[in-house]
Amino acid sequence: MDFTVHRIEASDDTQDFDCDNGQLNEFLRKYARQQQRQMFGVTYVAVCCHELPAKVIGYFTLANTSIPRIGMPEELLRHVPKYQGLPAFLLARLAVDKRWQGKQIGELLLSRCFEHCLTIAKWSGARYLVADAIESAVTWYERYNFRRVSGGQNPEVTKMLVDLEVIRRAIQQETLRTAN
Amino acid sequence: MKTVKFQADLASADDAVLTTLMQTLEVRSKADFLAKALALMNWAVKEKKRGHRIVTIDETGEVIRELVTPELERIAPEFNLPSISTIWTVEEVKSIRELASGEQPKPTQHLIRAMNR
Repeated sequence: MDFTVHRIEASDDTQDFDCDNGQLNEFLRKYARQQQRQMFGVTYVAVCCHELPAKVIGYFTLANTSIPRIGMPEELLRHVPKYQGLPAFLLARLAVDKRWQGKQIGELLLSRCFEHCLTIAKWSGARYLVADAIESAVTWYERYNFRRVSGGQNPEVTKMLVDLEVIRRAIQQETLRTAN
Repeated sequence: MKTVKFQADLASADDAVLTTLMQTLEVRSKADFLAKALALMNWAVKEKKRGHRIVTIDETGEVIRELVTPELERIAPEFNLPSISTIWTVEEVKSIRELASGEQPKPTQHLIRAMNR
């Protein structure tokens, strides 16, 4: 089956979405479009192609954020303007409907998220992607090169970090492999 | 599948192009042709929304021509992200410094697969 990922629209059907997490369900149904209009987060949804109305089977929400300059090693900060915060992306939420879990929809969403980050980074600059991961998803994120940021205060959410350079290398590596 | 009736007036020159295209593509009905044309336009719009350009390339990978139409140029990329302030604890800042220092890890097999699907 084919899927597409696009920015959430009024016509996307979110009412049946159920990822077994009440907060993530409620966000998609009630607040995703509203927050998008208010520019507090942009939500991208995965839907089955050829299905009307388009039923949402997974989503992620992306925003810009910043990482404190003092958290960066000196060698990365040479010639970087002295802003207190360095630009980064925030993957605030990612969820897949329970009926579609185990079918790599999460991976599809994450790959789209990475693609968006790399494209935006070309236009406005950002080096890292930060994810707010619920504890049960930490291992899953680690499979895709996210690394745990320790020392957070919220026991329900773990911040995770991935360097966009690593994502770029993953694309180059596969391009080289197929060229050979 | 539920269908919707669609009727359109075409200039005779366009009708001739349509007939030729249908023969070339071996598409039997105008409805089928319309569905395929729609899918192609839908794809073009999605690519523009992702900030991509639509080009033809030759066998060496060199760009030959770029598809530019006023309609497609009106599509703004969907990348106007809002900014959210993240609160970092002192321990998290230390942790980030460690993670960002030194050589970054190699891409995992999962990541390589994800980025090339």
